[in-house]
Amino acid sequence: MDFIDLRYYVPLRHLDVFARGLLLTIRLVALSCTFGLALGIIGAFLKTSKNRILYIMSNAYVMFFRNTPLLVQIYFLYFALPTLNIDMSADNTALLALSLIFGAYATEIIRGGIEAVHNNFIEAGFSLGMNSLQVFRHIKLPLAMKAIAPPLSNQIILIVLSSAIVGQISGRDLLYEASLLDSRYFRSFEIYTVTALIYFLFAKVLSIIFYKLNKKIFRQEPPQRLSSTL
Amino acid sequence: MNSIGINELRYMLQGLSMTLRLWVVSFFFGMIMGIILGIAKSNHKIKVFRWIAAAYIDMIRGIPLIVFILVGYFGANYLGSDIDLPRFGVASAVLSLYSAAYLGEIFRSGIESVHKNQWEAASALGFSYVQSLRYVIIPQAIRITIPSTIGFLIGLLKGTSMVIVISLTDLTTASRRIAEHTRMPFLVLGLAAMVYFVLNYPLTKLGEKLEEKYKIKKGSLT
Repeated sequence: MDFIDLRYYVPLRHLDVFARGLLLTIRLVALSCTFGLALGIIGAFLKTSKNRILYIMSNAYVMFFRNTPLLVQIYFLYFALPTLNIDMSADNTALLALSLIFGAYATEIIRGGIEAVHNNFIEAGFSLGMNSLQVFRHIKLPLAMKAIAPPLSNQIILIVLSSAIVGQISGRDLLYEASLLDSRYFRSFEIYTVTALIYFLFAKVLSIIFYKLNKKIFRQEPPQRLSSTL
Repeated sequence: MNSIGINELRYMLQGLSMTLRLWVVSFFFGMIMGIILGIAKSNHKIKVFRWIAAAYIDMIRGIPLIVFILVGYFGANYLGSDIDLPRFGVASAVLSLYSAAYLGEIFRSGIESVHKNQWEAASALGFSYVQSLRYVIIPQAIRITIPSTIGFLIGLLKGTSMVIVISLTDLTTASRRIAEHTRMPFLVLGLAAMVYFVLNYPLTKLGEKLEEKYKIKKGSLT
């Protein structure tokens, strides 16, 4: 095939660009997962409360972020917030959007984990004379964390893959740096296949790390990753 | 400042039509390929099928959808003629391939969830591998996979917004342009979000109801 003219030396000569992009993505994901986890804990707490209003608020939050595309959410924050005189940079808007969506998924995961603790264990705790706080600290929390850790680590990997969208509002990440490289050299296919490979390797490495961590700390096999966030 | 008139709404409707067409077409072809992939990956007779299907699924699920769309589009243009390929066709093809990977994993999980005894009973009755798949296993597997498939359908609708990178105008892109044009981002993007929500929320509720009904636990949450 003489018309195929692949020039892989173009991306391979600029691996520093990819490395910089990967570091930016790692920073973005780490920060947004931290904030999102805090949001998720609050949200799970609100969602299991008896107060009707708090439940509706947290449910609306979760339902909105789970049922609308990430791109719409990011555009909404990027274009609508300045009209309220909230001026954030593109990177910070991206961080906010990713934190909010991770918070929504984390709320569901944490709530599911807490509710998955079998009632028998809780009753056993109470029957041993523990008060509510002790039951929570010694029984509910460890067992809930064991149920939460695998889906949560899956979700982190999904957020890594979803973070590629922030380039659309010129938030800096791996795909954005790759597209800048593309606009300079126009070797789109080669550049984007290298980008895909980097994302793939990063996701693989992360999933291996999480697998080993979950096995060691929680003695828990991760469930099959069936769904996707897009 | 321009206000929202009938032209703007018509533009957004065009975007919505593009989104819906992409959604339906890629889900349809993705289902077909996904079933084949699922059967291949759960094949306990021929290792090659399992290996190839597993490699494909693993690879596609490890890269973001946007990157896959870009790779597919530029790759297709590279291997094609000098003329630009039709973008809707490429986008649907890429989205179908993407769906096939996820649906393949869902089907594989469904097929493997069917109790091993069913296979033994089928072979005891004289069914071949293909026959036992067709008459015994798959009907049971489909029932198991329905909640996860609905979950994926929701994710696919959200994923159609990624085709902006190959300059296809879907609902998200159209509403962004209208929002910039009329400088009313809250209203326009909010409207777009509402449309997606109205399309997705019934599916979410249906998935939850079916999951309750069949008491089938999904792996992670959509």
